[in-house]
Amino acid sequence: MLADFLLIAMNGLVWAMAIFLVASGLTLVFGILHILNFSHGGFVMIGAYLAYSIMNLGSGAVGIVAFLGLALACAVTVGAMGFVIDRVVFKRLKDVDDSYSLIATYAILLLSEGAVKTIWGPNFLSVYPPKGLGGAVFLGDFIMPAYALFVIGAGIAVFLVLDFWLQRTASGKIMKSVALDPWMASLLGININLIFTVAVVAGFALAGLAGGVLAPNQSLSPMMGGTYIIQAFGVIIVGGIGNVRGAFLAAILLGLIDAFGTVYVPSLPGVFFFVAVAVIILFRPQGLLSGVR
Amino acid sequence: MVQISRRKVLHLMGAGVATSALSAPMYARAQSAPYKMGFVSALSGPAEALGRPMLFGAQLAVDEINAAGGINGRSIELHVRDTKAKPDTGTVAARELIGEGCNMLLGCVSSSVALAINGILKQENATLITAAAHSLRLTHEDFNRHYFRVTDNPYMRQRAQAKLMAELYPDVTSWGGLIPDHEYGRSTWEAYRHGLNTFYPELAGVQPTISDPILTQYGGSDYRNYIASALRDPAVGFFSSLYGGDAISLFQQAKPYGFFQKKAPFMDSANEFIAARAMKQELPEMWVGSHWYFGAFKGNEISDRLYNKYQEETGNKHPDGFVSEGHATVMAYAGALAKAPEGSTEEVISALEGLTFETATGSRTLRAEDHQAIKPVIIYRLRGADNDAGFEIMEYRVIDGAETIEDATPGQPVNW
Repeated sequence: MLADFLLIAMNGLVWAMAIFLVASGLTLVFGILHILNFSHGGFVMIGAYLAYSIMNLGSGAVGIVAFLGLALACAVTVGAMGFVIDRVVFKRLKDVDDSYSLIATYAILLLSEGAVKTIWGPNFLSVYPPKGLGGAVFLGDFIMPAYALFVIGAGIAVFLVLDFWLQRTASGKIMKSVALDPWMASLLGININLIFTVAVVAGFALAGLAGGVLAPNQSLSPMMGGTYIIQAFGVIIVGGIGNVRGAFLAAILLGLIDAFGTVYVPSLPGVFFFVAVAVIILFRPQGLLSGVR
Repeated sequence: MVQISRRKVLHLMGAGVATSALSAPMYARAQSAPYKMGFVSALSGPAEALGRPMLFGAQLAVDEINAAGGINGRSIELHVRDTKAKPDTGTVAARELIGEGCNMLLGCVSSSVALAINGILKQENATLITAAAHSLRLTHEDFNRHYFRVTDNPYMRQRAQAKLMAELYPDVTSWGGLIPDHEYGRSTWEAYRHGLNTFYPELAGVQPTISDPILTQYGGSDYRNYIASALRDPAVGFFSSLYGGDAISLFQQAKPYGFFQKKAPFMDSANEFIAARAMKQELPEMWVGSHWYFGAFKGNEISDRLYNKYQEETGNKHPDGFVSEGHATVMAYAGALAKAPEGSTEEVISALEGLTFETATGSRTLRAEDHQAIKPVIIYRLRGADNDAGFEIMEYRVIDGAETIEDATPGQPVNW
């Protein structure tokens, strides 16, 4: 009974951290640029496919350290793509209506899907978990896959690094000030265009990192971009758009609700996440933690 | 009194001569013009990986027939449209093809698209032969004379799978299921459950204990909660009808829990080699349902040719059954056109009813009453392996479809 309860709770946490890994970059870009980046899922997908290709340069499964290096390489590569996209697209979206941003980012999503299909083909692919994380951890009757624990750890680590950066470092505080009042920040001599670019590159790098870390979590296909993005949007809305702490909290809350709901009310699969989002927004339309923090 | 002048008579005569002169070649042209067939299936989107091999098979059949001189001296022209596996897009694509003169449609990966196109066939005076859409409604509740299916259906396949389990694992008498929460998932489970209840008492002499199925989300990224539910289930044997990417995600996530050791045997409804190609050495051992397995039909000329050609052009040594099913749709039309050379819809329908034709799995017959093909069900046992492909076929079974097919009740639900 206790083992069951623990298993469901841990499954909820795995889901939560997987979604948080995807949502963190999304909420960062929105918090600073106020652009809802529909293409974010597409770059998570590109990160995952890059991980697949890098792993297949060798014999397949790699060790944990190599896997972490590989995920960082995905982050750097996708971050570089973010730099190009910022220069080519996002720079032009700052002073236009939101609807243009939605159309532009949706178009980038379609382009990323097309690029993946052209490069890697339409067939399903899969990535091995890192060596040493393919098995499970046993505690009495409780079983937890080692890779699932790794995802939880990765989600917490990303949250701590992001939180530290935004709360404790000068560059993070400058970024928050630009998010709150770009005009005043520019009057104070802050290069807000540089800050915008840093936010976009960091957001895309987080997408690449999420793709790399989550590549062994599920199948890879050119439609993968849409798999996480709906839940990621739900998490950043419930958390308070642009708020990293809110997204982290919302991911855990929604993950646990979805996990227990799915197991104890099996006739309604996948419904609890959406019900929870609707109910929370009804009572706190601004999200659990509003504003950029 | 109507007066006709000499000039007018000459004009009329001239017009008559001109008409005769023009209509003769037109008639001759109609007799030699290609038969137009419309391929309508998913060529992009989530089901592209299924629709493309289907198109390969259909196109190969067309090329072979044309190279051999066509049918009745007329070649076949294959027009192609993408449904994106969406019913509305599929309906538009079907109407476009019919507008181009293709009254013989074929293809369809998903049941929802086939059901949508099925609804317009009578009005548009066209026929559709599907190569994969499995909904039982197509040959039962929603039956109409314009629709045919050359492949098996859940009643045939899942009951054949259940029969095989009863034969091979008479001691595994408790069964559970992981099924997607939509029409296909429910109909596959209903048929499998029915098969277990029929064949375990008959072949193993015991009544099986069957748990309620675990319904899963379609297109999800995380299946661990469903896996947790399945692990809590006392059932030993498990059936799954999750498909494509969803199935692969489930298998990947279930493996570390020791799921496939605890829940064995594991029967997969229809993933052919899709999951095996993706997971390779990581593929857990399972039985898998298929439309066609080339290794089971060695010596069948069509099967051998199809396999060699597919392997040559794609480099893929394990083609999925969608290749043979695409091929079979064209072969069915070709057989009908040999009997109905004008190719009018009504004639083609009459010719297809009860037609027996050759395919990569041997002869198939389209049952006259409900237009369901009687064909073998193929099931193989797969597992990851340390070889070039990354997996191996441990054994396979070919079960005669006639043994597990349902009673024909067109217009009525399946008589369970």
